[in-house]
Amino acid sequence: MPRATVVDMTRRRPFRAASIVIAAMLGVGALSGCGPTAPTPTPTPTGFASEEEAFAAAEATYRAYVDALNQVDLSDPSTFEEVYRWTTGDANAAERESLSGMHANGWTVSGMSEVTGFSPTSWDAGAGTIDGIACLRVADVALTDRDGNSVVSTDRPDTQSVMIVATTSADSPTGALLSVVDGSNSEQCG
Amino acid sequence: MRLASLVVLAALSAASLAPTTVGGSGCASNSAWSGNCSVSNNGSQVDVGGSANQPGSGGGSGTGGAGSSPGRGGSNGNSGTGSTGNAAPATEECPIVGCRGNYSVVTYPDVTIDDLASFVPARPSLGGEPAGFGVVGTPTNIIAAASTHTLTGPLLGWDVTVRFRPAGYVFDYGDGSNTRTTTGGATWASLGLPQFSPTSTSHVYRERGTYTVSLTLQYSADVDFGSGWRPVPGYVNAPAPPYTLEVLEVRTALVDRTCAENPSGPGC
Repeated sequence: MPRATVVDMTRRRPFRAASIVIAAMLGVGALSGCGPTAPTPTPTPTGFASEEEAFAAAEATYRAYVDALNQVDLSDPSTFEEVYRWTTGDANAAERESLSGMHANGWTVSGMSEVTGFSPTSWDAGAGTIDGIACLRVADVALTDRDGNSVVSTDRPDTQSVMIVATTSADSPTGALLSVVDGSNSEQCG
Repeated sequence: MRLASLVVLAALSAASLAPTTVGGSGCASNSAWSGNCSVSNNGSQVDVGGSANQPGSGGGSGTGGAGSSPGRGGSNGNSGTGSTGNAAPATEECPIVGCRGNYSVVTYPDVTIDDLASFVPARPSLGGEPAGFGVVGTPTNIIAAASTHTLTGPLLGWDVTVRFRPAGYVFDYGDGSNTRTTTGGATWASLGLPQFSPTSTSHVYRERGTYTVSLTLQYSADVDFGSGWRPVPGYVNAPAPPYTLEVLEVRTALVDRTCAENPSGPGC
């Protein structure tokens, strides 16, 4: 009889180990899942791993946006979609108003805009925003009304100084979209 | 402050100086292509940035300016475009802005953080993992969420847009310790970490008990009077609703059967 007991115990041992593991897992489950329902936090998007990555994404986004602008044919609104795709929020609304307005007025654009510089200024990982100053050379761009008269202002600088804010977005190939495209008083564009 | 502060209110010549009658916001395509991005034109006001604050005499007759670029055709957009409009800066003997009639020069006010008292930014949210609980000696993940947003309203007699950006998260963990981070943190799942891993905002409690975590979010503010964003020194603080959690001790013991198998077992 004592023998039988010994055999019995050795057989039970692995069983015990298994039940401890199960108990431990249940314990964690209870902690994480079964507590009173506290307000669930809405985490901010994690965005980029480093500042360099965030800055590179912001620049790539702005360059893609300018590339899209360069493809715009004001008589063909389907060419506007690519511009809208790189913008969000205020910048998107402004572009919709701008491009559709020029289309409605029968304006024509020709020549290329060129990004001649980009200086990131800050990255806010918590908010998922990257600020930067871009230099956009527009000297080769002509804009005319339906009668062929130029509507380019006489005081247009050859290079625009542009303040941008890029916001992280999972929908964007670069990981970011432009949420603000504004004028800037920065003098770094010359 | 230094640059955008000069505003030439020139209702009459507004349309002619900048024919960006479409949109007129920021530096969207029409502004970039046709005018000056630092000029934000709402049809009744022209904001002139920097030193180019002399409304050139030739520009006075609006559409004339537009017609001044006839030579632009021909060449396929090669260079030479400098000629587009540069005929205009025929500066005259008028050395300072404001010497012509129908103009008045105004200066935007300096804005301090105290002036923004009437603009109340959104309160951040605060929570944690495991929800409502923590374990003594292991990291409890505390998570705050806030985003950049704008408010508009009158300020010092001007219509202004104020932009609030989360800049600092000051956590008070309720056990006497504080920390300030530049991120609100994220869930373990979204960080790809196992539960109870340390994160940038996690905290380890040493004693069991009930703790109330509080958060003060420091927003940095920018103001826009219509001529571009200008930062305001300092922070605007926004408190979060407190988050209360119970910190427990976890002890392990070897047991014969699970509580499901033997509900009357030790610890069940």
